[in-house]
Amino acid sequence: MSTTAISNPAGSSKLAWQVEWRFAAIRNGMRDALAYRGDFIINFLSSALVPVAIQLILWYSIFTASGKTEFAGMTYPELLAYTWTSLLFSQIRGGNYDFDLIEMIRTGNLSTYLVRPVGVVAFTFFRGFGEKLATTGLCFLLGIIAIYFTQYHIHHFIMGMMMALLGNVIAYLFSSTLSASAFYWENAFAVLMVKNMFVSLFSGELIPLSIVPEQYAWVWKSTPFYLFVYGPTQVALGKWDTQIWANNMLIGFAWLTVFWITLEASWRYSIKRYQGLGG
Amino acid sequence: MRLRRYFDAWYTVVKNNFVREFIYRSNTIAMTLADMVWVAVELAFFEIIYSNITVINGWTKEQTYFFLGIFISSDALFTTFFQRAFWAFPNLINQGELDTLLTKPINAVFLATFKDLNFTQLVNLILGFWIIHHYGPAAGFEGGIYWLGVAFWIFVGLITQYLLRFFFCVWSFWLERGITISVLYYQFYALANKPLGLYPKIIQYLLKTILPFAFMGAIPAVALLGRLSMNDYLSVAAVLGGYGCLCWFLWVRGLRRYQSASS
Repeated sequence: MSTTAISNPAGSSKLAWQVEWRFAAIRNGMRDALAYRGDFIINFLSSALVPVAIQLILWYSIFTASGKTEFAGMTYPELLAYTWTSLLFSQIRGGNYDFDLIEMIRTGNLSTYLVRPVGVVAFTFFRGFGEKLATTGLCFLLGIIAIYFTQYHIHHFIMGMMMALLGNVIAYLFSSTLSASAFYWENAFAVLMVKNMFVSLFSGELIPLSIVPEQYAWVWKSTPFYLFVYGPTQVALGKWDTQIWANNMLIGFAWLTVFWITLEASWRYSIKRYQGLGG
Repeated sequence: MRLRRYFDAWYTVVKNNFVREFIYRSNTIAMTLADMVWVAVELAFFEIIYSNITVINGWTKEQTYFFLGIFISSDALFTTFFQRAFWAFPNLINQGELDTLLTKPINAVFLATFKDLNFTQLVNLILGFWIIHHYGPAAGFEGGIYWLGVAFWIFVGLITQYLLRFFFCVWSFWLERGITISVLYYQFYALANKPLGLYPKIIQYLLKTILPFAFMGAIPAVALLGRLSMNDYLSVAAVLGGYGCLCWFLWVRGLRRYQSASS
């Protein structure tokens, strides 16, 4: 028996095992998400519809009640289109699995993962990604239905989805890097909470980033957060052509590389402090 | 004598929580910074909106910031005294941990909701007051003796948030995972941090009656700017009284259903 076969419990080849455990984690995550279907639907509806309702009301107030015809260069229908489309992409961005990592470190539960033949950060990602895939599937379906009734193009929507999924991976790598702070703090949730606040503003989930005044625009342009919601929405609405999409995908992959390196470095360095009793 | 027992229990809780905050100093500082960032994000949101428009449905930038100051102060008080306890509240019921509290010689609701304090939010209380003070005059707030009104309305906001949070948590007696409904509260909560004038009439009505999130900041701001009628004052009292009774009724009915673990 080869050493490769011995290294995994399934007894399959190394490559097969690498693929197998990832799919198993994704499947596990999806089952977890759908086990409580009532919860899944309530979560989806509340996290999606309430923020959208607030945005729609805000635009209504600005245009209908204040009598304006244009706001920061955008018309009322354009803002409505942005709000509805960004709703779909905002459901794909990130997840709460970075909080799971912090909880594992804090409680010492990380130990049970360290003895397993898979990387804990990757395992948590794929399990969380499984949960997100259930939501992504639902968003994709809703997007396809919406496109049927509008003038938008399906290939733009698919390109937007690709950017949103890339954004999801970047979000996780960034969050996991930050979650290494749990090795130093008893309760590092604050770091992720701050990150979530910045992300909600600079991802374009709350407002289209094009309405940010020019003198502050460098703030969101110098972060990868706009690739989570704003970028995909612009692509899906046909405001960014294939060239801009490709450029931003390249920027996304550059960010992905940067965060992958910082993640590796931060965990490799920080885990030395871990005592299995909490961070 | 009975009141003294409650005060002693509360004092012990405050003391223990205070010690915890000082043991985990870096955590306390980090949480304080996180809370300040939340305020910054709220202000940045309206800064962006108002950089493109001067008045939204009768609300100027200064009036909106004045409203935010009240909302932030009221929210800071709630977070200081109750928020952590309410996060744990559904688990108390779903995991049977309520047993311990029910056997104590003090009201279980009091113990369940007062047991976990968070002093990091006190900085937001100060920030909230600073915002009120800074934008108040330009918004039309007269100051002086009316600062007593600010204190009163912040207290009304605190009671409102307590009752609403309790209302969203108490369903845990009937649900396997009460945390879902508990989290739903925060989706509606997003309605509270915008001035009431922004919403269409029907939503304004809902926010003043069925889901009175407007009492946390919007109605207090309107009252302090002298725009609230006597009917509105009566309606605030009636709605809060009604919510108090409803919460108590649901708690008593829920306790009858409670079966310790996995209620």
